Amino acid sequence: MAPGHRRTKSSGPVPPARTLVIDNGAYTIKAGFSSPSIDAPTPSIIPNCLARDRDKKVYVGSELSKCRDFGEIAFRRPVDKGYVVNWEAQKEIWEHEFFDDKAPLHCEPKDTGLILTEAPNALPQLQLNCDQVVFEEFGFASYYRCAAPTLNAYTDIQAIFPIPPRGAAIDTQLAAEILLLIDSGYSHTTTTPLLLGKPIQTAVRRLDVGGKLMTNYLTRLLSLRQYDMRNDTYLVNEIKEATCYVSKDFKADMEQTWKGPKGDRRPGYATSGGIAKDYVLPDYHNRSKGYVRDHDPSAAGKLKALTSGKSAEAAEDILTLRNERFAVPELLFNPSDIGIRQSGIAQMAMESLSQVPFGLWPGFLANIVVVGGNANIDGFISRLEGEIRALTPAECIVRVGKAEDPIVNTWKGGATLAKDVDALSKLSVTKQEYEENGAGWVVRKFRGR
Amino acid sequence: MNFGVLEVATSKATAAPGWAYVADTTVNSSTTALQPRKRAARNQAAPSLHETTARQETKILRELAALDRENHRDVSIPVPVRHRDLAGRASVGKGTTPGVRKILQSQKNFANHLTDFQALGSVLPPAPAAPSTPAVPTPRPTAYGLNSKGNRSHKKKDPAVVSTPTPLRRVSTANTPQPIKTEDTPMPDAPPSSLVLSDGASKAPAPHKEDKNPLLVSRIPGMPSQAEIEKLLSAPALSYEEARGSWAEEDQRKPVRVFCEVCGYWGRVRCMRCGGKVCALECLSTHQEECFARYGA
Repeated sequence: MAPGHRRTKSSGPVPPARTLVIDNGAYTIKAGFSSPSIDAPTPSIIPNCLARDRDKKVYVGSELSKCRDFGEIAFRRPVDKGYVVNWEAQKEIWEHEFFDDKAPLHCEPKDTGLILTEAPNALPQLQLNCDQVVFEEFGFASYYRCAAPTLNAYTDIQAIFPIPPRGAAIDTQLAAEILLLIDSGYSHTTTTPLLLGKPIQTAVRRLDVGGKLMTNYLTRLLSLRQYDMRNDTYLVNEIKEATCYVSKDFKADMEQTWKGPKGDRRPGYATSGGIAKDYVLPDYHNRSKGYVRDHDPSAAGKLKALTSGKSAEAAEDILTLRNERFAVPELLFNPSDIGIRQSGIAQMAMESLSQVPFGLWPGFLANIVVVGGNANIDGFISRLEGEIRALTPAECIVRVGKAEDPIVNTWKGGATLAKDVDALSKLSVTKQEYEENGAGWVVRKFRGR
Repeated sequence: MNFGVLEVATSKATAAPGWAYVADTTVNSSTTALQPRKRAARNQAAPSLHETTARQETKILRELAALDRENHRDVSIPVPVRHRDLAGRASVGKGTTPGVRKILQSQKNFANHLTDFQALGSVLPPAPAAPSTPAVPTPRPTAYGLNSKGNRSHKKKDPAVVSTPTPLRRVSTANTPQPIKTEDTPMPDAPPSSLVLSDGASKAPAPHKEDKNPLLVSRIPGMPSQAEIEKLLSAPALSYEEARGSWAEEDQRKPVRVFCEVCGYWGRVRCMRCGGKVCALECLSTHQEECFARYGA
């Protein structure tokens, strides 16, 4: 480090050469470096957990990719409900990923800036803890903590929408002008209206349905109906990602997947009009990953293969999924199906908008962007668009778009922001400022915008 | 910090240590605790479609709590002990301050923090719970056109801001919000005054003679003024509880969808024993096999 970087207090410190952008999700951390000199910053996706497999071996963060046997694997996640709660575990994972000598994304915090995301509406105490750890434990040179949805404003929103075709107009502004962001992640789903990169705080709403709840719900359904999967949530999550879809017509799909009353079997039940799928479970011996295929009514499960004399190795364990495939993501649209006293995601978007002057509605409705892992569920976007359109005035154009890669979109926004050194330094707090003004000042600075 | 626990000053001082007879003014707990009463309350028929009985309610809550769990079983995965030389990481981890040590050792979960926050909010006025740190007081950017002393805009601001016309709607310059810069705030980023929404890059369509037709006139009101937008953006964040999405009126009026507990189809038949719903006789018998065998259901 150049020691000649001494400057007077009034001129302000020179911003650090590069910025570590961490989108600290409950399920995965999206992290990577960005600076004006890095052309195309790319994030690493790191599982944000300590995991322990059945041999009692503990995997920290990205080590999980070395795991070959996910049977009965148990997780400890430092982030609960979207907020970093357990800093002991979080520090361990961060050190493993960023600060250790052999860390994949090694950096020296004192020469690095930090952009860190949190879920909106965080508790003040948790924010305070976070600031304290960032500066006092790790000692980052500068630091910007923000609600994760806001960073999405710095991505190229208009590229998401095919209609209308883009003109030659060049956006001069760094942040998107107007945007209704729906972030559906592991812990919950939030809607945030953003104007020029700033959230309208009074209009932020949260639905307590996220990937975790859906995985657990699928686990329950499968455990009741087929195999006990309660200790294999990792596997159930893979099943969910591979097979679940949002139904276009819930009632019709439900009819198709009904077996019919006793003695009057529905003829189409076996394939259920293509809805029935088989998921071949991994045995972590010959096959470490499961896969999906269309349901084959003639081939029964392992039991039949065993009785017909085939060897146990040749047989495979199959889960047949029918209404589970669409009943699980349906929770995002009808949380009351399992007794959650909240409205679905479309109604929540309208509740958000009700806090916004009516004149801004056309702008928000035409620029709805969905990010977060759940956006990858098939049919999610079109169903959401249809439901929102049904709730809005007919003259408003409703466009709902899925970010190109919904999981890392927030991170990409942060990386773009980090490229604009001036904009970022206006938002960040330096270590010196923290030491002079105290933690409470930092909390207020990040809040008072 | 009081950690949400406040000592309530009581005028009544106990005369002697130990115990004392106290008049029990609450509901007679000895009778309410009797089993038949409890069961009667639990099994009261639901007055409407949406009201659930107490027993169903507890069942739903229990199931939701189960869906919120990370692992099916209670596991504790300790942070692995590391064998590393401290020389290599001189910058990190060495200067652990007492505050940080406390944070790292805290085993609180989110529910604990939330209860703390609620407890703090119920004893303190709803002002944001700013931690007591030796920082200067910050005036909140609330009053527009007024500064903290209440007098009208002082024209020391850069003239570019004042003369910037709002493209959305013409606002008189007097109402143009002044960036709030107070002498006593070292906040370097007072709300930037460049919050101007553009008219959009696309050209307006060519005028048509039917534009004035009452059937075609847009009823969407104009954009809000600059001041309104700034006010909107400067509002403080809601608390965790306030931000929870509500259950809309029209959704509450819809009948609750009930599913078969066995196969997931519509629940149309009620189990006489536990009140659970199933789709047809076949699933009912499957259900009852378990239902009758279960103790205390």
